[in-house]
Amino acid sequence: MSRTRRERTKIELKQFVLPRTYPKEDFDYDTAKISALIPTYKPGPLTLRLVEDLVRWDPNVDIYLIDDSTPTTCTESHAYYLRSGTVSSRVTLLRTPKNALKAGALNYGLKHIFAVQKNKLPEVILTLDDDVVITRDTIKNLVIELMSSAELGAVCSQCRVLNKNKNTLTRLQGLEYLGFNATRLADEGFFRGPLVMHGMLTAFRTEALRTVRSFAEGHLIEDYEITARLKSSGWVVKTAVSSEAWTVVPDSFGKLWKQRTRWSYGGVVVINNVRYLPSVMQDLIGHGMFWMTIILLDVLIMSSIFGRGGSLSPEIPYAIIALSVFQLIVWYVFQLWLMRLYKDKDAYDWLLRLALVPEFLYTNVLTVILIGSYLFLFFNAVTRSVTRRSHAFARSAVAFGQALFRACGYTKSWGTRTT
Amino acid sequence: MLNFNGGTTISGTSIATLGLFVGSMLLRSGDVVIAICFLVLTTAYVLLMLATLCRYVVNYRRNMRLTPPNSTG
Repeated sequence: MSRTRRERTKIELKQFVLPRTYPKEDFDYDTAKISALIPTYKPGPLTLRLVEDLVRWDPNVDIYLIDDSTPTTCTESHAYYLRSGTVSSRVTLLRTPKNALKAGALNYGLKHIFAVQKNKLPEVILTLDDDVVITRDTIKNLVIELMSSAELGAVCSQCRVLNKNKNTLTRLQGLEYLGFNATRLADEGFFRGPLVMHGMLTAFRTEALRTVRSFAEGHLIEDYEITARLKSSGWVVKTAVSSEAWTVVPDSFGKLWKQRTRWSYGGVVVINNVRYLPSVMQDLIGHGMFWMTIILLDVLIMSSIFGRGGSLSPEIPYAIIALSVFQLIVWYVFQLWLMRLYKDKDAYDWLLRLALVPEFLYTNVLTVILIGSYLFLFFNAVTRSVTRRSHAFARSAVAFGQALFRACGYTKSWGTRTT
Repeated sequence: MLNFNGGTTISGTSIATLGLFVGSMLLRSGDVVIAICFLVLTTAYVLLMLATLCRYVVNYRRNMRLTPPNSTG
């Protein structure tokens, strides 16, 4: 299967400008068999609302709410969990034997589906975060989009920010998510589609999930990892523009930093481990350009300190400045145009976008996080050979480095659901 | 690839300010080889941005034809 698919999908440079299209197929949503997996840890009112909405609006969806071993002392969460189970007979409550984190909980749900429904497996499996808010048409549009072509293995929803109005940081993330949606749309038909089918809400073709077997447990960003494997196996992915969903984003700098160090380092690890490079083409180009810029910048600084100067005609520096300003103008105009698609916007969002500086600072914080990820990857690669038998100084240095990176938010394990 | 708004690696504002910084430094240092390298790099950034925009426009139009009104891009 994967071999055939890989052979069928050729790498074409014209995809940089003209995205590929795929043959369309008809699909009857009303007769489709769909299962939804909702891993949850300390479920709350949004979890209950999500289950109620799925039951109300999507009569052909079976729901599996998988509690990832929430401590029994959390009585309120336990009450929400039990109430979710009483919403409909289509809701099945599962509980992992021990805390397995998100990928583990998803795999637990998948195993259950494959065991219980083995005679008639669902055609589509949805994965949802437990704090996602959907509309009446979100799931329907998502599934129809997925089943519109036999090539598609997964389709993700649009991302919007539920708590956008909480503070400036959440508003900046709202604007950023608007950009994510635009990037995903731009990447449709480009080297098998967008980089990440996000964990917030994605519809997988069951056949595609069976091809890649399961989610990678212990990985920092299991959604990017499984997307890369799907694309490596020859499946195409895309976003559904008519499927809208909202999620809660970090509302403090500390929480955002923790989330983004996980995303950033997790992304670098995916690229480091990927077997089929075109499946992460966008990131390869992005990281490559970033590194070339860093290296050239270092050379330039060294040259201006130690160099003797040269006979450069001023046209070249002026051309660089002109191209940069041109890029800024095109990019800025596009950002302003994009605002017309931002339904949740208000005057403050317009102000943030027009002002430029807040987004400039925000993106530079993300760049700092990225540089930290490179350093952490380098540190882990260098210290891999240090064992218990190594010299005491080496072990102390490694322990100090690990503590330093941990203090900066960089870890190799996904620990956000363990507390 | 080129993220329109922040994201993982590149942002429009960062590149623009970087270009201004590099251009002004090159005017002082005058190193031809580095200047050409930066010119190639900046051109690549612009081409990537234009290619991404091009794909966005094509996909936006394709999707608008297929999706019902009130949907977003």
